Amino acid sequence: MKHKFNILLRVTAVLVLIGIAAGCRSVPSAGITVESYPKNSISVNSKIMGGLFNVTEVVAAKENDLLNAQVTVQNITRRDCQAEYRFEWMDKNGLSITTPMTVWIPVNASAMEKVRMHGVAPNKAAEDFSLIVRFRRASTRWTLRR
Amino acid sequence: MNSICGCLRIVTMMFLAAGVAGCFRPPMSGYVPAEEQGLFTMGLDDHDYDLAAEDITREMMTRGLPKGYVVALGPVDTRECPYDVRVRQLQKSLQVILNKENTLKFTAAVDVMAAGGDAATEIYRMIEYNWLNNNPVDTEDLQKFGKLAKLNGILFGRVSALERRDRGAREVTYRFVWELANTETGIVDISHEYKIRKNTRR
Repeated sequence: MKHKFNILLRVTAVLVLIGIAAGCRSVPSAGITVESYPKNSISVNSKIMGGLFNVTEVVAAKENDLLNAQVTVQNITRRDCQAEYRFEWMDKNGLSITTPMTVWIPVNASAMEKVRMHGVAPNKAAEDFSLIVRFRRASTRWTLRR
Repeated sequence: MNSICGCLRIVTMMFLAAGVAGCFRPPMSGYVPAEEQGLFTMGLDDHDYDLAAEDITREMMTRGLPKGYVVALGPVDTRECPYDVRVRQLQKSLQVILNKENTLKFTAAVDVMAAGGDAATEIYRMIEYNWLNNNPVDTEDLQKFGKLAKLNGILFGRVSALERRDRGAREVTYRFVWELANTETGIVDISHEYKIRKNTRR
C-alpha cells in the first residue's frame, strides 16, 4: 500500500515539475516579427504565436512620399485571439527613427479571420520597417513586488 | 519512515526546480516601457491618448496635405464625455508627431490667438461657440481667422463616451471625431472618427 502511495506521489511530483517547466516555457516573447529588408523576412519567435497566426501578405508602397506598410495576418485557429502590433521605422542606413507613432496597437482576430495591420512612416526618411506582433498584454508583468 | 524520506526528497526536488526556474529570470527594475499598455483603467489613460494621437496623425499623413500646411487645434468638445479628457496633452502629442513628420506644422489655437491679436481672438470665440453648439461653422469667419493667424486649417475635435453596464460587466466606448476645416476654402478637408472600447467584468 505504502509502495503504491510512493509511486503515486512521485508521479504527481513529476507532473508538477513538468507543469513548472511548461510555465517557464511560456515566457512572453516578441511573437512574430516581419522585416522588410533585405527582403521580406518573417521570424516566429514564439511557438504559441506561430501556431495561431500566419503572415499571409506583406505590401509596402510609397504614398505622398511616405512609406505605407500593410501586413495581413490570419488567425488560423478556431477561436478568438487578442494581439497587439507595433511598427518600427528605419532610414536608408538602418537607423531607427524615434517617433511617438510606434505605439502598441490592439487588434482582435476572430477564428480564421484575416487582420490587416497598417502603418504609415513618420517621415520621408523612412525606407524600411519592422513589424512586431505579439499577444496583448499589459506592462504589469514588469511590476515590482514590494 | 521510508515514505517520509521519499516525500522529503520529492519536496526538496520541487523546491530546487522552482529555485532554478527563478534563477533564470533576469533582474527586474521598476522602469517599464512607456509604449506598452500599462495598468488598465476604464478612464482615458496615457496609452489611449497615444492611440488617438497616432490615429489622427496617420490619417492626416495618408491624406497627404501640402508641404508647410499649418494646422491649429481648434475647439475640442468634451462635454459628452463624463471622464476627464486632457485636451492639452492630446494637442502636445499631435504637435510632437507632426513636428517630426516635417511636412505639416501644428500649432495650438491659444498660441495662434496671441499672434493674431484681439480681432483673431474674437473670431476664434465665434468659431468655438458655433462648434460647441453644433452650429455650422461660418466660412467667412474661418477665412478671416486663417488670414489673421496665418493658418491653413483648423482641427476641430469632439470626444464623447457611452457607458453600458450589464450583469457585472461594464463597457465604455470613447469616440474621437476630428474635422480639419480648410481656412481658405471653408471646406472640411478631413473628417475622421476613431473609437476606443474598453470593457471589464467584476
